This record gives sequence, structure tokens and C-alpha cells, in this order.
Amino acid sequence: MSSQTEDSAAPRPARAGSPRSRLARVALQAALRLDEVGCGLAGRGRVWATVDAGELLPGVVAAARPDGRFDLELHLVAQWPVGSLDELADRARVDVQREARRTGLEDVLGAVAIAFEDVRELGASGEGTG
Amino acid sequence: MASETKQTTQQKAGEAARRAEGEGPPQTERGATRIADAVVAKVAGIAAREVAGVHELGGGVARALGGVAERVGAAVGAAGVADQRSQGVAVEVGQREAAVDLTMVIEYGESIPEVSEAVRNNVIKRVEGITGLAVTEVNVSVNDLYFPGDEQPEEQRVE
Repeated sequence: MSSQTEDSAAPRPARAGSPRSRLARVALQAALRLDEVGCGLAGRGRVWATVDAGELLPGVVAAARPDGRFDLELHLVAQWPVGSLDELADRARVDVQREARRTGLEDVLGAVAIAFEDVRELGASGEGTG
Repeated sequence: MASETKQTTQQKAGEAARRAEGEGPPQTERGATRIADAVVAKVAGIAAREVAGVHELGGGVARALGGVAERVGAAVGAAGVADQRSQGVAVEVGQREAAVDLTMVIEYGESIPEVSEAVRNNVIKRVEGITGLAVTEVNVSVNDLYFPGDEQPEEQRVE
């Protein structure tokens, strides 16, 4: 009997999936560790999302490039109070690179584009899945 | 009961956005950063509400619709949730500049010029600090005054 339970809220380690989807997961998790990032936003129609190991990751898109790398788009909701969004984006990029290196995905990491789609305050209603 | 300090038109606001057309989002060698208009509007709305003397944002219709949307949980915000933080805020955003129009209700007794100026300064400080955009103008429209007790439900005139 399997003891596996479905808990989409619990963070899962980067495993299974393709390099593209694993990279997407690693990048999103790295960005979400920043205090000023509230969540990822999948947008209408969930076009800003990637599936990894059967799980929908809202707010991240990984697209293949001809050189074998994957460009990433992170669509994020900032958490108020927030400082400079440009600096926050730079910190997110550094963290994504560090995590990609740590998980052996640095060789497939391309450019990391970051879009802040919304701002939310603590206690405000709303989910990040768009 | 409207005191309007708006001196320019929406066209002028649009010029700020048009001046920057043709430029992409700020690009670094590691990737681009884009900030949605909804973010600018929300930052401006939060900044305006931080100022003492501002009771709430939005015109009568916007506040009424916002209240209804909030009660029914309608999706009106960029994140798909009812949200009053950008109610009463209109923005024109270019790649480098932004213009903001605010409609607000001020508490009775406050100096409207002083509150308007404080709002203008705080909106500019917050938007420029957070988004890096240069704010070319903040137009403030005061469309109502708030009196304590205004939030009491009106008595029904008919049974």
C-alpha cells in the first residue's frame, strides 16, 4: 500500500521531469524564497505556468533556445511592503543562478526575465494562480 | 462637492507613455525586468492611502462597484481578485515614465491643498523608489468629503 499522499501545497524537491521543467521548478522556488515575493501568477488561461512531475507551477515559463538552454520567464506578485523592484528582480536572478548551479542545471539556464504582475498586502485575499 | 486640482489632461499623461515607446523593458545581460501597469497603479493607490486625511480612493461609482465586487468576490483585479487598492487610480505607464490620476475622498476639516500635495509627494516617492519609473505628474481629484458617521447605512425611504 502506498503511503504517498497528494499535497500540492508542500514543496517538493526538484526531481523527475525534464531538464526544462526541473529548471522551471528550481527557478520558481528560488524566487519564492525571497520575502518580498508573494507568489507566482499563472495569468488568465494559465499561460504562465509549467508542469513538472504532474504538478502545475504557476508563474514560470521555460522556453528552449537553439543552443540547448532554456530562457525563463518568472511572473511574480510582489509582497508589500516592497523596495525597489529592479533590485528585487536582480536578487531573484542571482538566486535562480545559484540554485541552478547547486542542482546541476546551470548548463541549461538561459536568460531570466522577470515580470512583476501585481502587488499584494499581507492579509489581502487572492491567490497567485491567476 | 468636487474640488479638482487636476490641471492637465489625459493627453498629457499619454505623452509620457508615448515618449518612451519603441524601447523595450529594462534589459540586463541576464534578462529583462517588466513591471505591469497594475503594479504601478497599486503602488500609487497604497501610497495615497498612507497619507493622513485621505479617507478612501475612488469616485462614487467606483466605490459602489468596488463594494459590490468585494461582497460577491468578483474578479476585478489584475490577480483575479476583488481589490480596492487600485480603485480610483488610473496610470499611464511608459518604459521610463509614468503619470498617475487619483480620485479620492478626503476627511472633512483637512486642508485639501495640503493633503493633495502630501499625496502627490508620497506617490512620487513610492512609485519612483519601487518601480524606478520617473513620475511626470500626479493629478489629484477630490470628489467628496468624509464625515464621521457617513458609513452608517441610510434609512430606507420606502417600506
